[in-house]
Amino acid sequence: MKVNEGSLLQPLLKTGTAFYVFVGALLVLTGWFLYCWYTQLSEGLIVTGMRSVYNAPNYMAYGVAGGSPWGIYVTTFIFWIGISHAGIAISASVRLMNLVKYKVVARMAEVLTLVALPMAALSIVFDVGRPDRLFNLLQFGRFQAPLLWDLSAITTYFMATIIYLYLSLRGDIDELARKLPKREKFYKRLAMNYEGTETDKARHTQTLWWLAIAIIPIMVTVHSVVSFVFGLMVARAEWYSTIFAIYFVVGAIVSGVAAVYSLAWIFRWLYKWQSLITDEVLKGISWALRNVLIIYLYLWIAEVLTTSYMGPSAELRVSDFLWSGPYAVIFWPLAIIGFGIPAIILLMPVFAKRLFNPMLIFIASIILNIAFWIKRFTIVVPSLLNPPLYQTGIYIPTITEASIILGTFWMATLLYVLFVKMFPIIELDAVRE
Amino acid sequence: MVIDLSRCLGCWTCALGCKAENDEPIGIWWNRILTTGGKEMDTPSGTYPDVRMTYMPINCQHCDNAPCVKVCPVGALRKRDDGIVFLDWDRCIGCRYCLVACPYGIPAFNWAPPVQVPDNSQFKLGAPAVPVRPVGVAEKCTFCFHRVDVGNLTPACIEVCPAGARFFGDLDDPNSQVSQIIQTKPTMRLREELGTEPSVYYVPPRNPTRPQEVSAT
Amino acid sequence: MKSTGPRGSGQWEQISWDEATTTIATKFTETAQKYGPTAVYIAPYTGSISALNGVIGAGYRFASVIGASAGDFEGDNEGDSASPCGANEILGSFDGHDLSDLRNSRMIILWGNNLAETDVPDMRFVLDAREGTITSEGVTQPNPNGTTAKVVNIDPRYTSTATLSDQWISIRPGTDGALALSMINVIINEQLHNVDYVTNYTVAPFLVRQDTQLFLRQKDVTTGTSTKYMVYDSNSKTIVPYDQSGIAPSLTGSYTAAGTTCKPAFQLLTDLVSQYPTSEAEKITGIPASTIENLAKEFATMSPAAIKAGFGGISHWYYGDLTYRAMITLSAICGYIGVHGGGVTTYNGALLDAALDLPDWLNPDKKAYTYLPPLSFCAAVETGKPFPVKAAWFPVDNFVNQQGDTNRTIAALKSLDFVVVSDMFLSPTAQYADIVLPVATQYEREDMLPGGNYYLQYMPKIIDPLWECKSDLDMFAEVAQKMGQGNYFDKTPDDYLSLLLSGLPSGLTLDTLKSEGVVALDEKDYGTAAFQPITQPYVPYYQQHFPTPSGRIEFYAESLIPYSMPLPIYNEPIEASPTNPLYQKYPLVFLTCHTKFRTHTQWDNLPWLREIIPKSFLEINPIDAQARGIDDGDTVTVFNDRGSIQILTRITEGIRPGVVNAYQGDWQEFPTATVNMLTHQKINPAQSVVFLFQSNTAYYDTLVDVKKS
Repeated sequence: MKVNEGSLLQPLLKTGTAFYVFVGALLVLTGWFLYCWYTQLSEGLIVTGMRSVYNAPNYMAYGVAGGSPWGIYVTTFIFWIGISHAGIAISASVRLMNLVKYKVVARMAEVLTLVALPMAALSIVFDVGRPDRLFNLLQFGRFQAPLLWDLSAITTYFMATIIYLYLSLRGDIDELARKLPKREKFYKRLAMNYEGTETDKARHTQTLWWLAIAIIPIMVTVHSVVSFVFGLMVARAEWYSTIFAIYFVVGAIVSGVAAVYSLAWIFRWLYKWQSLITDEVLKGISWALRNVLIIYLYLWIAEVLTTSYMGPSAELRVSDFLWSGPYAVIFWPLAIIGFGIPAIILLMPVFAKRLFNPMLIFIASIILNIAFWIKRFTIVVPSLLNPPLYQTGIYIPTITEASIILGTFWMATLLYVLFVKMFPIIELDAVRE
Repeated sequence: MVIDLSRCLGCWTCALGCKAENDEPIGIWWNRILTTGGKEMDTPSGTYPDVRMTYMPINCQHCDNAPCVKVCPVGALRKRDDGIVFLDWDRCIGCRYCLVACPYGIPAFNWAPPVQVPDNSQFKLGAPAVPVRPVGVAEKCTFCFHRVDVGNLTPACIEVCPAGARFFGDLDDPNSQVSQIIQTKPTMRLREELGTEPSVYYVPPRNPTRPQEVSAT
Repeated sequence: MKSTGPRGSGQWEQISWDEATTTIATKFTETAQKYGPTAVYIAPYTGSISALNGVIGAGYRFASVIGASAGDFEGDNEGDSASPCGANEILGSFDGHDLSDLRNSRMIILWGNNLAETDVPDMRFVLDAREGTITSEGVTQPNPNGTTAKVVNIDPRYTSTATLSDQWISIRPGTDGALALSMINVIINEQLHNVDYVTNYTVAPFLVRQDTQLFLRQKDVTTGTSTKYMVYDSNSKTIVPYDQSGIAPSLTGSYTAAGTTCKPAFQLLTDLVSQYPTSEAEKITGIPASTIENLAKEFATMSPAAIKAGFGGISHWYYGDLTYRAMITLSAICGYIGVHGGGVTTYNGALLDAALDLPDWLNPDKKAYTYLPPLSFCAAVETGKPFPVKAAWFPVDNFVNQQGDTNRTIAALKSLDFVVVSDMFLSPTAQYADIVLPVATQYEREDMLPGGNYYLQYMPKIIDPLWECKSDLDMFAEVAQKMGQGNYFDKTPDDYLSLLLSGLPSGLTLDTLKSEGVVALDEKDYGTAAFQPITQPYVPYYQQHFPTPSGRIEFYAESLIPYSMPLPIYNEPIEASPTNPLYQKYPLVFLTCHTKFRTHTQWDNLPWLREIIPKSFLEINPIDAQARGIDDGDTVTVFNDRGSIQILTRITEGIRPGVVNAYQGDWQEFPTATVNMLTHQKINPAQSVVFLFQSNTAYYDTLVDVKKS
């Protein structure tokens, strides 16, 4: 069945009970998150698992007592930055390489970026000990500090994404002003005197094209600077590595593309847009996913080999910690289930075309993103638990901590859902072509 | 600073003197005594009776090429002209990047609102010039800048050491006590290969332990 | 506070000072009327070493004026009297070198002494002797003799002290006497002993009658003459008085006189030590024979060599006096007693150095308390011998926590009619009191430190006592007043300090002491003033005068003949020995060493120190731990017939297999981890030959076993 414009506008017009139940649940969960955050603000970061553990065996290590200075907050930060790479990667590629077939997923990818970046920022706000002093970053920010590069790059990336999204959305907003008379005022104001003439459209297209070119290096920079936060630390075994920048960027692309695939599949299933988001489209995305995943696995193997073949003792200690020590129970399932299974699922169609199963790949993409979160956890924490001079113990996130980062997921979903209700998640143009 | 490991008793007096002078709360120590030996504090490495143990007091190394100064996003960590790496407790945003970047695991962090024992309700423990740090900021050894700035005073840990194992002075002055010790005795610095250029020199112990066997506490 | 429940139940009611002191006065008077004044027992101890309020303080004065019985500061609550007893038996007094003298030594043996943890300030001197001193210019200055001392540490544990020593020798606990005798054997066999010194300053040449074991006296040989000691003169080949001029006394041989065989004391010593060749000593001590041999030779040749003994390692044993005598003998035959850089020192100086006017302070109007050693307290309570004890006051002491055999102590306290405890904290001892009195700290009262290191220190009162605390002096004054003896306590602290100082020959006044704060004792004011002139740094017996019956070093002592130990023989520990059948049941020697994070029970409740060591633990060797299935971080039960405790473990290679250690002084975890539940109160009767040091708690002489709990 051919999808028409009306079908694309259905999410904006019709809202079923399932939706309200879903949003209601999310709001409740967000309420719990807010409570946990409040607890953390009033009691301090001691409510997390990063805190001192006074009775731990190696109590006096680490200046305070045991534990890891960074934990799942920073992990989640990296995760959200990674997700944010999808949007613009796909959207910009589509525009620059004129991959018309994939225009259908362009916007949902952009929105993903839009929603992911604030969540990343929020994760860091949760992590700092003095969120009330965050303006010091602006007042006293030092450009020798990798964290400041993060701040600048991410801000730039965010601004660029918003402008890009707005410009590409503007035409649709204008149309919606006419097609949804009940909300005319809202859309009219948002459109900001959009003329809708051919020249106007051409100008938009031209601007977007240049923006797309600019955004790609910004995107690469963003995750590279995130990697530099770790990769430049000479003090940290397993972090101090030249490969980190590309390792992180490729990882980000994988998790981003996987997230876009998940979204595409969900919308296809939810709104029955099979004729628009065709098997071909999904196949194409999964093809891209497979290829970058292979590159990522290649980089991972290179990393692993370097640190375990003949490493300095500190490196070996971290490797042991991860492979046969306390975190082995995380690492091996990660490798085998988290990456192994998606890899197999994605590789199957190479050998037999009929083995392409969109739903299976959807499952693979979900697993992959969970795996990536865990993977980043295993990058951040084991090294911090094994400083150069001695091992400091174990880090186990607390419920409060976990609730707080889950809060970012609930809020991301809420924001995304809000967007879907206000604007077409697929460009109206896509139907016409 | 020079610490003579051939004299260190592992008695913790320097750590406690520091804690008192700087009003450190429960759970935070700027100065700790590591045991180079077995897995736990005060246990040796090896197998009885061929055992070995030495002590290593560790505090901020006030590196000339300090990783913590480099990575602090707000510049709360600054290197003074006299070489002391100073942490501005009013500016720190609590990102803990310095904890991550320091190869020696030195900076401590106020995870919880600090609890002073004895509490400061009747009088403030420690030097008046050293403020109580609030929750959510990092803190570390300051080489007792408040004593050094006054004049001829040395840091508290130097003064209280009962074994005469700690020395402090001007490394730039070749005739100072610390410079002379460095010139006449073999010394080492921690993890020199990382390029941090620490300002704390250790005179090795007479009965050395293999370097891999450092244990926390 | 007054106890409102049964003793130990922790139920208290607040009362006024007036009510408290009246109750005490009434109860003490009642007890005295019913059972005699000695039924009241006052036991101050080393919780404070100050003159008016502490270990020689108001408690004893109080006991004297009411005729009570009292423990004595040189007593035995902490196993510190075996060594002094032994020293008295051989040298006539208990004294030690000022430890700054160690810089004159070429060798220092830290014997059973964890100096780096138990006496941190004095470890400085060992380090200076070993490393030289670093000047303010950063130059390393060598010691006067130009060399650096070799430091040897003899200890079943590898401690901080061992890390700063040149050689660590692990020894089976309690066998130090055998080691000393074996070393003497090597030295005599190798002819490395100082013949002149031994001949002139020890009883070595004196002939001993083999029938009575007594020294041969001139009147034994020729009736109607003196009691002079007799020697065999190698020149004239006759037995002559020792002080005859121009003789060459023999140290060896066997002669006949007074109808019996007589041998020089040195011959008897040689015969004794010949039973301990290094091969035999190796079997007893576990130290390789070659190590013992080398140690002995070095000790004799690296002259002068000092022995720094520990109270713990040497004196906390049943036969500690024998061990200490053997060690002093070892030093004596090398000629190291009374010389710079030598000697056998346990305590940096004597226990009480200044010649204060103690009689007028402790025994006013010649009134005196009756001495009852703390170790005899339980027996007196249980059996009424030597006299019944029905009421007690424990100031300046955490008796229940620190006395051996805690269960027995608690039972004794519970059976008393009336118990008073004064302390700064609600200690385990205070738990068993009827009345608890809050004590003022040293900053809240006037006092002085009476020595122990050749200085007098003034302790000014900085603030008034907070809340309802009173100083010990004031407490005893108040009770004495209510018992009609107030006239002995009606002066001010300054008056009493002046009284004490009035005994000093130099005439030091309280005003001078106050303005100086710390005063180095004038030569005339030394307690050992009989042996002038004093040398600096202080070395006891510098003039080679010994307050023994013979005036010489009596490694052969007549007073110990009734106990069959005139010579420092070696006996296996009374309990902690494989020869004890009990060993089959409890094969681990239980040490209760002194930790660097406490001074006995003091400072145990400090949060900062508890941050470093949150819980007490048992040190155990991995071999013993594995045999019992114990892993890191396990809690175990340590037990024997007297009691049991639950305690965390610390598995370490730094302790001898067959030996475990749990630091004494913990009272935060009373009674679950109270180590004295396992120790005993056995008294060595031989120590009665020295009145002041007649009983000793042999804490380390204990056997236990450990199991996972």
